Amino acid sequence: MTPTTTPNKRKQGYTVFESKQKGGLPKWASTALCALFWLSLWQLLAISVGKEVILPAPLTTLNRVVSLAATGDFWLKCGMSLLRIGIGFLLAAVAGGIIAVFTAFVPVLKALFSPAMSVVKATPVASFIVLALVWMKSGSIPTFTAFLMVLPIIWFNTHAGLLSANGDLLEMARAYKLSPATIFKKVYLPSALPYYTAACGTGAGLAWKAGIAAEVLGRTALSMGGEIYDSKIYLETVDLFAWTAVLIIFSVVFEKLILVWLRRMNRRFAGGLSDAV
Amino acid sequence: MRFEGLNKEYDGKWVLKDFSINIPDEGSVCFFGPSGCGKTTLLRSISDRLTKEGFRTAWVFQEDRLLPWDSAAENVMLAGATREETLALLRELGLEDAASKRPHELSGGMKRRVAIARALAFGGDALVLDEPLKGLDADAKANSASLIRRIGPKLCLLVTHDREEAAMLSDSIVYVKGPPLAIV
Repeated sequence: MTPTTTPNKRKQGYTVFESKQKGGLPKWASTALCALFWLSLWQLLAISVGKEVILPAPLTTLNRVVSLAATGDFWLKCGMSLLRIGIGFLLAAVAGGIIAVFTAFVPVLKALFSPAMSVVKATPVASFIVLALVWMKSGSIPTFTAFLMVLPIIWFNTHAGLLSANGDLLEMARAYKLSPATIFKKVYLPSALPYYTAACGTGAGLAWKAGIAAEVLGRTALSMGGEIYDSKIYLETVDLFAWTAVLIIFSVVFEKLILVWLRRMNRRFAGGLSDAV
Repeated sequence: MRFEGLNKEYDGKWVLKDFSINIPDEGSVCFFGPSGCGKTTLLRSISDRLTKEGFRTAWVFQEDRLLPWDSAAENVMLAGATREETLALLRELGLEDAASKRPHELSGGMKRRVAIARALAFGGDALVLDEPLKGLDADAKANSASLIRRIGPKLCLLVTHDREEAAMLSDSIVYVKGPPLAIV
């Protein structure tokens, strides 16, 4: 099985390479084999430990996930977590993008926002959660935390993307007397989109992790994080594994949904050429 | 028109130093000289002056400068032409099948012709051409030059180091050398 790399299409003068396994297993089969390997390792470890309270087996965890999913309470908790974290992420995605537009074109705003964003970016998530516990109700903490974690990422990337707009194209746009709105739509926006989409991809995962951490520390009612906290308190390790598995699935689905939305935006504003996702 | 005292310096090196020139109000003037002598800088300086005096100036830049995410037709329509006008221009330049293609799907010569179509679509009072026929084959060169002469604005300024291009597009040729730029 010799993996080869072949150019499959050309975009804006760059050759896009796509990995292809020549004469080997199809991709789904190799993925399934890898998953099987890690699940087997987990099973072997669980057998060797021999105590469910320390390391439950994969099948036990799967059974628990299935039994949890059969209850309405489970879906309510998942939905509430998704809603809280999703709102935080969306607010950050919108606010970060808008602030980046202002800071890219107004130097004094860049000077004003840059240190604040750097401070937010460098502050540990636990500090924000503990502060938020003092300031607000526990139901708002995951939204607040997800917002603060994602905001600087979106801002830094979008700001850099706007500044990376091609100078030759900008000169052309001015020579042809395009309005500022058209220049923004036709030159700046497509230039910033790859940066924005990459930031959203990173931010989605981060929002989910930070939001759940906030739910755990804030012991938020009707939340996935709250369930993880309870399973730790009552030493229900199977529940802990089951909820963690559910969290991973939701995180992946959340990220994929956001990437689908970003691809649509990319097709609309950049003809699919700024495809960073 | 008299352009006096044109100056431009890059990194301590004078490209234009107190350069002055007379240009007719109408017709096509070519600045002919070797690469790197400062022709493009002269073109920019004159274009800036024209813009300040209220001229609407269309450009064919040395690079095509097409929006990579827009189709050939959309790139031309950016200059203010309607879809029908755009398609007619593209047809005249032999690009009728390329209207919906994006720049990365076009050859170098096709991109060049889209850039020419965009400049012609803009109309305006003056057309500024920086090696406009670069990379075109003989037929496309003749066709594009003929269209520029036929429907281009009354004032056309061109820089090139290609004698054929100069002969096809200009009424008068100014031979230059430099830097700093000087009339030979």
